[in-house]
Amino acid sequence: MNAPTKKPAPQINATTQPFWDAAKKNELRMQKCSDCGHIRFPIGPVCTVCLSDKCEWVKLSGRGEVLSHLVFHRAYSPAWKEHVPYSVAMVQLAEGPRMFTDIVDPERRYIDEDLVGRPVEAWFDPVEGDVVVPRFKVVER
Amino acid sequence: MSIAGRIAIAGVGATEQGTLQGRTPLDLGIDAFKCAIADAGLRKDDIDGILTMPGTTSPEGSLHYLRFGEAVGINPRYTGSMTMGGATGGCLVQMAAMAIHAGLATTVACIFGDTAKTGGVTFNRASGGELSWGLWGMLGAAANSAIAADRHMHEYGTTSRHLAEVAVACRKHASMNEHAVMRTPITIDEHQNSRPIVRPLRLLDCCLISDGGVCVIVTSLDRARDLKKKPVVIAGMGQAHTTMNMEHERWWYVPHQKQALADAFRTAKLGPADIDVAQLYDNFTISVLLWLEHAGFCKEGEAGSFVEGGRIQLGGDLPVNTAGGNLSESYMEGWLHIVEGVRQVRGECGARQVPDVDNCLVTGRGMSLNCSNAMILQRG
Repeated sequence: MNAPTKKPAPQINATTQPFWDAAKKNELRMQKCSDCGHIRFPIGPVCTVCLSDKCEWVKLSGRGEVLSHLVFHRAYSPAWKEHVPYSVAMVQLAEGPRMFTDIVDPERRYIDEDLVGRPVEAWFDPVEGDVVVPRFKVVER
Repeated sequence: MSIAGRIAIAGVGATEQGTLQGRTPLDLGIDAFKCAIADAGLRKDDIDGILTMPGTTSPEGSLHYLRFGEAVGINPRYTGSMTMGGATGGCLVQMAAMAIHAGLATTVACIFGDTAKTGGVTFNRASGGELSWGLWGMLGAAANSAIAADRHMHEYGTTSRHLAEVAVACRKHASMNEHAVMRTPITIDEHQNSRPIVRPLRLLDCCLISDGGVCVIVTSLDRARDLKKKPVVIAGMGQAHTTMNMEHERWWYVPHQKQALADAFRTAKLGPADIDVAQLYDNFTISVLLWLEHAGFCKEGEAGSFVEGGRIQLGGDLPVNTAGGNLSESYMEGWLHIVEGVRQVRGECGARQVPDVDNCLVTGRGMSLNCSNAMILQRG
């Protein structure tokens, strides 16, 4: 089990509240269109395929694969300064959507590796108060 | 009646570039405007259209056009401001052309001034809307292009040394441009030894951050023929944009650029073989490789080997970014690419002049790989 990362906490509003409520229960949930079934991300008010405003926040498996792996040697925000160098991955989730995530890597094992094609899974990080941020960790073979 | 070939660039102007203490985006834009109307042989009162890009440090934001018009004492028939990052300059020139073609204005000044360097701007914006990518550390302009480079390397075997070829070419050209900010030539090994920024990009893959101003004067070809300089015709133009990042299957490859280029070639009735010199938007080295593929100078995935051996340097098959580009001349968000395109077509570039330029391709791209445009500038 990894310790919490002390990374920045999100600004939560009415639109994003269900995402964060799910994360608090250690679940990754995204909006699935009730009319055409498209799962969309980023979060938005209507389906990007059919414009329906009816959706259900479905629970995803939290599993995916790394499409691209970056290593930040520079902090573009003070909140990330103490974490440099850190890995960010563009993750292809099993259910279709993609998201950017930092890779949980407290021992900096992956900084010199290439994680493209490697399986990853969601890991839930209690950043502050009762806010939990989903991140991804590498599934070891 | 088609717009292609009927509109021209009649004047260009640029201020000094680099670290300009005590300047403001507004006064740099005004200085560039004065240079450009002098270049065209026009008076202020001949300008009846003003289109501006607010600098990253402009306090007026999207109302910048009002302040600019007020500051130079022009009540325009046609005006506005636009922010598409590095695509703005080309998109505004195209907008000016359309306004002139539609009869809404006769002579439009497109203006940009910025003090990003002395203003401490770090281009650290994150995309993602209400769920900012910044929450996961995905911040800054370099990161988006790093994704493009990483995917290009994985899919096509492109290497960091290929990216270095772009940096070396731009620096060589800047060394021949007395107005360029970075003029000391570099080698591929120096690129390889520069510090990592966002892997796979290194410091010498990244553009500069600069203060400066640029202005481009657009009018009809008929009017331009009566002005001071030889007209530079906008022979073809195109734009394409993607707003969808994560939901776009190959967002990282910026495939919409192909559409912008295809429209520019189609409207000009030209193809890549007709291009003598190209000014390709280079926020990061990888962008030049993508443009080369999208324009059809080489096949998809082959731009890495295409640029080997100095092919995009002056004297090579296709000289690219002959003034030094964003990487080495100055980071004017692509505006200086238009200026250099005009000067190459006019034959004004001295030691770095490409012989007998009939057609110059100029491209722009901005935001998180989202907005793109292309123009073909032609000898009038």
